[in-house]
Amino acid sequence: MKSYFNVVFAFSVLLFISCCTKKEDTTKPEETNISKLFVENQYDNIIIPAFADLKSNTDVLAIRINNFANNPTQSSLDSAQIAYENAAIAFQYVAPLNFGPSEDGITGLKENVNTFPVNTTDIETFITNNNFSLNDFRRECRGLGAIDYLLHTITGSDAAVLAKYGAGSDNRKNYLKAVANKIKSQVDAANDKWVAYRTTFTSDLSTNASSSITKLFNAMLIAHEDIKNYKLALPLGLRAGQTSTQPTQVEAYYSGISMKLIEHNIKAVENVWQCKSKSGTKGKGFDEKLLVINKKDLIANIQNQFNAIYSAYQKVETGRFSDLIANNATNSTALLSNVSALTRFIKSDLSSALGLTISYTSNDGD
Amino acid sequence: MVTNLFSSLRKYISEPTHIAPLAIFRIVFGAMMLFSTLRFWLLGWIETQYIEPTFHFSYFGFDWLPYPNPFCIYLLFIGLLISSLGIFLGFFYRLSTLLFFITFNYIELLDKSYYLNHYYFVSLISLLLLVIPAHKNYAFDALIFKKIRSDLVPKWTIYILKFQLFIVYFFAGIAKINSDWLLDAMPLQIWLPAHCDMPILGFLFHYKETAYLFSWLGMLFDLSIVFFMFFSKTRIWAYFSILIFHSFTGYLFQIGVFPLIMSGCMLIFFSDKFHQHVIKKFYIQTSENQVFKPINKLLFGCVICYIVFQILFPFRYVLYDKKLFWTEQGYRFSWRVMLMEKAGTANFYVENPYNNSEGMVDNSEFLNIHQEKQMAFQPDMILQYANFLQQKYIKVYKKEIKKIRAEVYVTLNGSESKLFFDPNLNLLEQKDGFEEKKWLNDF
Repeated sequence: MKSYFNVVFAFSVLLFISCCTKKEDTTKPEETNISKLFVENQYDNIIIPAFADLKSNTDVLAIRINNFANNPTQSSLDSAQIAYENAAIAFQYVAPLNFGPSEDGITGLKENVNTFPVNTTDIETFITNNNFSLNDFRRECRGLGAIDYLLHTITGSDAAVLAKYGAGSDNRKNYLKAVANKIKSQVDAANDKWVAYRTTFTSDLSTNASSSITKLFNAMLIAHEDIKNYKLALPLGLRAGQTSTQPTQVEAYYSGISMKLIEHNIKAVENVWQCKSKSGTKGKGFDEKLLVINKKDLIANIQNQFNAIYSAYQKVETGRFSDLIANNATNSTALLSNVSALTRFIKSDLSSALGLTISYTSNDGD
Repeated sequence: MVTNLFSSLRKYISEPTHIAPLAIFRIVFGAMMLFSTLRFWLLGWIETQYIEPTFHFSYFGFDWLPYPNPFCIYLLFIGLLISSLGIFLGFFYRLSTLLFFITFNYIELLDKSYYLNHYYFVSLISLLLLVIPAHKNYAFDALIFKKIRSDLVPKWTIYILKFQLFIVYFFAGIAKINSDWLLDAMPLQIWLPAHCDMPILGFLFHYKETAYLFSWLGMLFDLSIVFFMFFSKTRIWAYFSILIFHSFTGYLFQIGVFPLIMSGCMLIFFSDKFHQHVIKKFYIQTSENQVFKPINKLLFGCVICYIVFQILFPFRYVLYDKKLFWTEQGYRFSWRVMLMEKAGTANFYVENPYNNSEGMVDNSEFLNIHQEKQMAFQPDMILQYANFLQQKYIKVYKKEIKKIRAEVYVTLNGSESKLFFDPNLNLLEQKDGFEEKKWLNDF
C-alpha cells in the first residue's frame, strides 16, 4: 500500500518538476482574468447597449405608430416607416443574444418579436374581426414582420398604404397599435431582465452547458445558422426539398430592407465574436480567448471568413432581395456560400478549442 | 493436457464461497439502476432523446428492430424501473434480470448516438446477471422460496464480475497509452482550463503541466487500480483513491452516473468477511441446506468464450490501417473513455431530381443537437443519415434521388478542422460495414 503511494507520489513529483523546468510557452494564469473580463465585456459592451438601443427604438416605434394611427398622413407614415427600419436594424443586434433574460419561459424574444414571414391572410382576418388582443401564440401575425406588412406595400407606394388607413379603418389602426405596443412591452421586459442580470451573467466563469459563455456561444451560432438557413437559403430555394425559389419568404419582404438587415445581422454576430461594441470599443471576445491558448490560425481563419462575407455582400446588387431572387441570384448565392463557409470554424473549431458544449441541456458523455 | 487444465480450472471456479459479496453487488447494482433510470426520466431525456427526434441511428445489423411508439418507450422505461427494483430486492430475481436485460438493451439498441461506455458496461452486467444466482440469500426470493436459500455460491460467479471490472479499467488504461494522451496531454489540455472556476484546485488548470500530470496519473490509475484492489493490504487505500478519482472526474466532466456505477461495483473486491460483516448488520438469514451447483460444461464453455471475446474485441482496431481516432472503426465497445476532443460540421446536399441543382439540409429538422454532434464526425452515422435523407426527400420530391453528398469538416484534439472525405463523393454509393472505410481522407 505504501509502495503504491510512494511510486505514484514520486512519479508525480518527478513529472511536475520535469514539466516546470521547461517553461517555454506556459499558459499564463491571466486566463482567470480573461474569463472574468470576457463575461464582463460581453455584458457591458455588447448585451446592455444592444438591448438599450433596441428599447429606445421600439419606444419610438410605438409612439410614432400611435401618432400615425391617430393621424394618418404622409409625414406621420414616413416617420413611422423610419422608426420601423431603425427598430428592425436594432433588433439584428440582439438576435445573437436570444437566451437567458431574452426568454419569457415559453420562447425567446426572437420568436416573439421577429418571426417571419408573416401570415397576411390571418392578419387580415384578425383585422376584419377587430380582434387585437394578441392573447394567443400566433407569432406569425405580429412582431416587426406585421409592422413591415402594415406600413408598406410591395410596390413601394405610400399612397396605397395611406388608402388603407382612410375612413372606416379603425380595426386596422387598432391592430397596428396593438402590435407596436406589444413589441414595446416585450422588449421592455427583456431589457429590464438583462439589466438586472449582471451579477448572474458575470459571475459564471465555467464552460458547463449552462454557463454564460456556453449560452452566448450557442446563441451566436444559432444566429449565424439562422442567417444561412432562413434569411438566405430558404428564399433562394436552396434548401433541400425546395423545387423553386421562394422570394416572399425573405425577412422584411414588404419594406424590402432584407439585405440591409442581413448585413447588420452578420455584423452583430461578428461583434459578439470580437466583443466589439457598435461604437467600436473592443473588449475581450472569443478571439482573445483563443489568443490565450495560442490559436492564432483559427482567429485568422474566422476573421478572414468574415471579411470574405463582407466582400461577397458588397457584390450583391442593390434593390429588393425578393427581386434579385427572381431575376439574378448569382451574387446572393455566393454570399450564402461564404456565410456557410464560416460555420465549421465556429461550430467545430471554436467550440472544440474552448471546450464548449453545443447545447444547453446536454446528454451525458464519457 | 489442455483438457486437464480446463477441468481443473472448472473444478477450481466451482468451489463454494460465501454469497455475501454477490448479494451486496446485486443490491447496490439494483439501487444504482433504479436511481439512474429515475434520473434519466426526470431530466426529460426520454422525450428529448427517444421521442422527439424524427430519426434514430440504429446499430449495424439491428435496423430490423422496430422503433417503438412513445407509449411503448415509456413501457420500456417502466419495465426498466420495475426490474431494477426487483434486482435490488431480490424479488423474482430471475424474471427481473430477464426483464432488465431485455428492456435495457432494447433501449440501448434504439440509437447509437447515445452510446456510452458505462451503458455498455451495464449491458454486459445485465447479461452476466442472467446466469449468476445472486438471489440465493439476503433476498426476498430466499424468504419466499426457502428451497433455493443457500449461503454458498460457486466462486466463478464472483470472479466473472471482478474480471469484467478489471477489463473496464485495464483497457481504459491501455487506451490512454497513445501519443496524443501522454505526449501532448490531449485532450486534457483543452478540457482542464475550461474548469478554472473549480474551488481550490482551479487555478492549477491553467498550467500545461497539470494536464500532463493528470494524463499520466489517469493512465497509471486505470492500469493499476484493479491490482491494488486485489490485494488486501492495498485495498482500502485503493478504494479510497477510486472514490477520489471518480468524484473528481465526475465533478469536472459531464459523465452522468458513470462515477457512481464504478464506485459501487468496485465494492465487490472487498473480502468475504467484510461483506458478511456489512450485510449481517442489516439482515440475518442463515440457511440449513447449503446447496450450490458447480458450473456445467455448457456454461463453462460460454464463460470461456465470453472472457476471450472481452479480451480480444477491444483490439479489433488493429485490423484497420487508418487512424483509430479519426475513423472510429473499432472505437466503440473498447473502453475508450473520455479519450479525445472531437467535433464536426456536416453540411448535406441533396440533388434536386428536377434540374441539376441541389438543396442544403438543415440537420436540426431531423436530429436533436446531441445526435447531430455525434453524427458529424462518425462515418457510419454519416452514411445512415444520408440514406435516411434519401428516403425522406424521395417523398418530398416524389422522384428517385440518386445523389447525396456532404461537406464534413472534423477537428480532432484541437487540430484545425479538415475535410473528412471528398465533398463530391456520392454517399448513397458507399456501404456501411466492417470493411475499412477507404473513402475517408487520412488524418
